Amino acid sequence: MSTAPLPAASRGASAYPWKKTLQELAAHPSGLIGAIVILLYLVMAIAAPVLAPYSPTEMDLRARLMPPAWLTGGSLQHLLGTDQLGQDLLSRIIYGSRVSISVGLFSVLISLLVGSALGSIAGYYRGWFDRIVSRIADLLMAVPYLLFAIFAMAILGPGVLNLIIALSIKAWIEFYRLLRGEIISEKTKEYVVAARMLGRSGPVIILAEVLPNVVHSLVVLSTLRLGYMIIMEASLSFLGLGVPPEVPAWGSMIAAGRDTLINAWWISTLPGLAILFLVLGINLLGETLRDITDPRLQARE
Amino acid sequence: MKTIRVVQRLFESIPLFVLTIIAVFFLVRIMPGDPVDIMMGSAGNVSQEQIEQMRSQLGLDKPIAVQFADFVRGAAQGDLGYSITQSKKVTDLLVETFPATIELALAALLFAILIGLPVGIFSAVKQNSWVDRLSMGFSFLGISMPAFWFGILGILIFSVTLHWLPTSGRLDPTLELHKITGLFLLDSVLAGNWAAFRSAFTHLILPAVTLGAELLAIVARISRSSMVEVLRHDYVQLARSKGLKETAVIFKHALPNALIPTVTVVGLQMGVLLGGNMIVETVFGWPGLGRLVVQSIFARDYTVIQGAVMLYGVTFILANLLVDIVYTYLNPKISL
Repeated sequence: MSTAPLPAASRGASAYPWKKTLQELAAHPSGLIGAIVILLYLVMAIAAPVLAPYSPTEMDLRARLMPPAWLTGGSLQHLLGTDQLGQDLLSRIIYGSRVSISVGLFSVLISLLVGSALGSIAGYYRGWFDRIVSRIADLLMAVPYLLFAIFAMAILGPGVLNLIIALSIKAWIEFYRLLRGEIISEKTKEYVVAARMLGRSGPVIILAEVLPNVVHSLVVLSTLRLGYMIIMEASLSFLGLGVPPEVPAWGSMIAAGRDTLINAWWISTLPGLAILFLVLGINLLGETLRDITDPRLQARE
Repeated sequence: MKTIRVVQRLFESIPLFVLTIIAVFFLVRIMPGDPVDIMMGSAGNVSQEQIEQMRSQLGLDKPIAVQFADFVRGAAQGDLGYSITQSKKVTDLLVETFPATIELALAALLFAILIGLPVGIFSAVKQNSWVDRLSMGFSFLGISMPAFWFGILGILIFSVTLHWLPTSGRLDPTLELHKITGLFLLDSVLAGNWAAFRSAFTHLILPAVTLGAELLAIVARISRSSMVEVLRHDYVQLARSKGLKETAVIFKHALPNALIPTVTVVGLQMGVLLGGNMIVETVFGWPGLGRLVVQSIFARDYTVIQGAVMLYGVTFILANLLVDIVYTYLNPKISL
């Protein structure tokens, strides 16, 4: 490992760091594609009632297991076909984005806020608070994520809010560790020492001096975690531990199509594609952001 | 000296292990509904008396402190009680399912490393070639894909459409295999039973590829990026300038150093291999520990959940220890 100092200039030195990031993002086509994909999914989730041709739970028993429109037997009435209950697959996929996106966004948001707050306090003041919270974080880290989430959902019961809670209980740790580490290392730097000598209080120094310097790392971590959370949500829904059965979610749609793979492959595969494209978009954006904002990785290329 | 350190590490993990067991004991009991509710729920007209009788048979009517004391007393003697739903001893269930999980995890690990590592190193050496771009593109897909969906795609293509591979289970039910280790591939070789070996192997392919796919992608990405970094170092340039063959430079000088981050990441991903098997085992009807845990959680089979989590804990601790030992072996500068 090289111990060369990081190029300090690229960190928060620019007067308009966000403008610069956006410009660089426009210059990286993969990141831009990722951002556009995410935007399209957001529009889909928000405008689901307008976009979906049918209600996601409307059953038409005469139109069961209809293939997508481009296959023989398909019809333009149901572009992506129907499932075993005659529900329109396109409508269910459009509505399914709501569960995935809201669970993903809110669990990351809560983890970001809780993790950063605890990490800042622990990193700045150290002492007993740091010891206790870090110990809890270590303990939680030792449990496999999925096993933990399955337990939590079995206790909490199905529901979007419970999914958010179950996933957040463990997801805050990475944000905690990131912020704690950053604060510990920033604390010894001149600008923080100077601010302390000027009599600034701890919270002011954290919010006004240190946070602007780590905001990039937080954005990158949040983006990359978002994709992971969406896969976790889908996994729990797949096992039947996600949302109640009547709510359309991609994971449970994939599970429902397993029994009809032989004569209706589309029921399982298409919702999976919806997950894949969204997570791909998120990861493309996340990795591009990391490449342009993390000088350590920049130096590597 | 090192053995002492390993033993010390084992002792250090005892508190966490004990804490996990206590937590699981109480967590399963705060799940809504108990095993009797779940069993009776499907039975229909059952009288309240019968329900109470069943609860007392299972000891579920005792105060929770007494139940806990009974559990600890039993566990200390290696007795984990009987499964509530399957009328089998918990230890027997664990002995049945554990080898299946280990076989699957090892196969997935082997698949991920045997393919991921060469791909990563080759991509680093031939940076920005079409092979590099293609393999990194696939790796990116690999980390963005839900494993269970990938498995279902595999079933759709290789089982349902092409009829090449079976959809679920570990062995063709018509075949007999004498179980020695419980690892079917090994057992069939030991018995010289090639029909069983073939069957076990074809049953293993899809689950192992599904479970290992994400790890393969991660290994390829990490080994590529660490190899790229190592290749830029002075000592590699020096080795080159001394006129060493490129293969010698890569395998003798660069690779050992590039391996360290890869081993670390594989170590961190052991949890995914062992924890992710719940999904993969469920998809493929693989009779392992992961599927057992999922089924027991749905059935609220307290005793089985407790036993399975204990076994998970032990496996986890040992796996992490093993990674640490490999790590020190690769990097003598770091002591355990």
